[in-house]
Amino acid sequence: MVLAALPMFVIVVLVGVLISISFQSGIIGTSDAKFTLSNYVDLFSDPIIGEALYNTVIFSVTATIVSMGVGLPVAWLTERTTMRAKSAVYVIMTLGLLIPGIYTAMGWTFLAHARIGFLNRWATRFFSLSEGPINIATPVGMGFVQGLSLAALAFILTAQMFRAMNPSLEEAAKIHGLGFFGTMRRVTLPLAMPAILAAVIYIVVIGIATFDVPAIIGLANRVYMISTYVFEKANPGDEEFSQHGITAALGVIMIAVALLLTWWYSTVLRQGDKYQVVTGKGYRPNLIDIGHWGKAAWTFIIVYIIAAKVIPLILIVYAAFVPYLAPPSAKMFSLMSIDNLMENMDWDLVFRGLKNTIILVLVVPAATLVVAFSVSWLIVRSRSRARYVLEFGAFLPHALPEVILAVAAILMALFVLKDFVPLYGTVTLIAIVYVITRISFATRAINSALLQIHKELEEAAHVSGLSEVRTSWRILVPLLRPTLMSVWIWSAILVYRELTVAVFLVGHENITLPAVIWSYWQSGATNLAAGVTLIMTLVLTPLVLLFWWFGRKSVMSD
Amino acid sequence: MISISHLMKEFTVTDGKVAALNDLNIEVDPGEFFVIVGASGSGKTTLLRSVAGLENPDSGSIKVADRTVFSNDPPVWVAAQDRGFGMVFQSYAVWPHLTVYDNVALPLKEGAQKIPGEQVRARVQQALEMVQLEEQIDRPSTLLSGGQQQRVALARAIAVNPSVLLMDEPLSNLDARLREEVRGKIRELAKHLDATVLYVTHDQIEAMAVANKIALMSFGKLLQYGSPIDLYTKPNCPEVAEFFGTVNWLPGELKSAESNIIKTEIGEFSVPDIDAQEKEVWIGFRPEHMGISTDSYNAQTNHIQADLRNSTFLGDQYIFEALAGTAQLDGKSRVAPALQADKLHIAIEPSDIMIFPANDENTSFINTAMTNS
Repeated sequence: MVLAALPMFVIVVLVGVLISISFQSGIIGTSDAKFTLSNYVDLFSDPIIGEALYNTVIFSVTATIVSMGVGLPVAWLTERTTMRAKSAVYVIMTLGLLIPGIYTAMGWTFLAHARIGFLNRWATRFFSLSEGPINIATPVGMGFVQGLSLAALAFILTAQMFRAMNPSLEEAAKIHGLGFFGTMRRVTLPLAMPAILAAVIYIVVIGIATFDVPAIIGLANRVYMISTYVFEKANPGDEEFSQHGITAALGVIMIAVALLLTWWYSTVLRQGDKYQVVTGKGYRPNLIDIGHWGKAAWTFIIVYIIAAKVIPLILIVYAAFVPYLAPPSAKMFSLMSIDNLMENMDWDLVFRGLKNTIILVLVVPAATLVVAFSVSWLIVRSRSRARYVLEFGAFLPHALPEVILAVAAILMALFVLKDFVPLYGTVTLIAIVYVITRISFATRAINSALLQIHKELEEAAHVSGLSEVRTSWRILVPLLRPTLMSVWIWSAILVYRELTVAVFLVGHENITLPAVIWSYWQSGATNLAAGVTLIMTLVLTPLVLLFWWFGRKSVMSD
Repeated sequence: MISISHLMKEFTVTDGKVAALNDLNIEVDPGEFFVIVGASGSGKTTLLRSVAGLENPDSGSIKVADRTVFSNDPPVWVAAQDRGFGMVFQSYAVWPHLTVYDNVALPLKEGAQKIPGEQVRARVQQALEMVQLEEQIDRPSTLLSGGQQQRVALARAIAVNPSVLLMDEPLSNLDARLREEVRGKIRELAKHLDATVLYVTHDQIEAMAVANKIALMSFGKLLQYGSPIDLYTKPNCPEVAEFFGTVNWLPGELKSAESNIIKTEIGEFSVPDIDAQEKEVWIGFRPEHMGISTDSYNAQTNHIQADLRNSTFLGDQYIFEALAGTAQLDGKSRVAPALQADKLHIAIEPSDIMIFPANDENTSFINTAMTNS
């Protein structure tokens, strides 16, 4: 119970601190602070905020269109047609989910940056243009990159819906004379609409709050999104002071918007249930024969993979080994060497980052599991009213943008806990925020696994004389093991590659590996950034393989 | 052994509250095979789970062998794991990740009793022998059939030598043939162990077959409890009578205050001594108590002349439907229902007739029962 309540308490305190600081000016957190609305006034009178808001909207819309444009057709092809090698699509998309957005963002910067981008360099040379024709550092360009990276998620979200859809509804349409396109337009799509809309809202929420892609591509070019604007206000460089009051004010507004969208999301999901599209029964839908179009479908998928994953990865490797960034050529290949990395890299920094990251990967998933297990158990099994509070509490971190949680954590450490617990600049602070951000996902996964376990299995243990703790340990944990394992590894991978919270919270001592990449990238040392990315990938690969292996095992045990 | 008094439990449902247990009082004697029977939603499972410690009643008290395990005043609550009972669940709840041996051994090793390690194996073997499962001892429990899993659950429950054995519809997931076999075994086993058994089922035949005593529940209330024969032959209300088998109902009227004669639209019936307060009554008799007379029979009372509607031969008996006046009668007979002068002649023994006052409650229940049949 205490374990379950602790993260809720932390979240409530964090939000409370954020709200209270948003109304303070002067020396925040002391008796000298004044309570005012000036932060909100300053926020809305800042000319950049309007631009950032506009950019964010364009960015989110583009990201949603691109990700759904790829994910939705691939999901339909995989679930409802005779396209071949479907399990390969699942493998590719799951791996795609695991490759961080910063990889795609870095790769596409190398490819399509207005000045240094290889495509632009080639184009200016061959067509004698004065400037590059493509600019990735625009809201649309960044949205495109973000969309490529989110397409795997769009696929996963909509594939489930196509799988669960009752095929007899479509068959009824066919028997009553509607053709393929008629059935699609009048039956399939309307039935799928709630689920599609839910996926769209989900992706828009991510688009609004996401930090890594806008930061990697946009920040150096002074193209701001809301999230990067928050970062600039919190870390304004050497001359200016951090404007914490304004950051807090923006955070409060973002929380309100995120809660509103999340509420809309859950309403839409409920409406989807009303259609009873999901039957729960294992239907074997009649697959639509697409014949030779299957080749076209696979070409589409392969083009996506190359654009979103393969090219960025190759370019990162290339960038890591060349002494300066220039389009690939015979001369550049002859200059490639590992020496550049070995000499220029601050290995102290890299190892410090690696050490901290390893600590986080060891501690955070384990702590997340313990807390999420307690929360899930109370939500699923207890009959007290407290479970509704817990359910909402466990859902809350999902609705709160990570940027805002990070800002709230800084404010908390700087202004509230400063004299009691020196958390600012420690790995502990990062770990706490990571656990909170991971709880929603872990709780939901364990909830659904726990619902599958018959309550009487636990009750039998109680009546046989086993205490609650022993029952959990001997009955529940072994039965939940496949789920617990995959949640553990999934959290480990997400913690390992996490960039948003890290960028806000790290200092000299508690830097993480992704934050090292970020600091090199930000200072213009793109080759070193690519080098660290390469090191990170080498460590990530076995983790991903482990995830895949356990994922297969848990599917088998179903 | 088990004494339950004034037990109350309410559940909150979407449209208000429902009393699952409504002021329940039951005494179970040591060594008794006590069956709680009722339709679904009658509260029987809630009662069993309250005794087990899996459900927390609102008020009242439960005592087991003079030890109070639940009471609201003074507040007493003994957790399920400290009550020391054995329980067989409807789903069996055989732990799927453990072998047959581990399923039975886990409560012994890690339960409240903490049996020393060297004794565990012997105890497990003994329990498995009792259910004739010793040959499956090292198999993973998921590889067993339904009937075998049921026996693992039984072995697990008896291995701890419980003073009280609780069973929640233990046979409902077995097929019909296996059910008869297993219920005989359970009865034998209980006698052998001399355990007090509290057994829940919705099946009245199963209840009759295993019980020393039966309690019939309906909507959280105890209707009647007693021996199977008592409940079958001397039900205290129409609902109890109907639960244990079909009843032919007839409205009637007491001829005079002194006589034991009841007048109905199809004739007069002499009945055993009654202490009816009101003149209006319902009489009821069961299909198997309708005796077919083969020769013309002209008795004045307890005699029905009816038109035979149909008759079905089932091998060991005939079942038939007959119409007497406006009353539709269901009958069972070992001899073929033969017609005498176009009429079927039926005789009913006075002792086989049940009489209930025709108050609102009984009348509305009987009317519903008759429209449903």
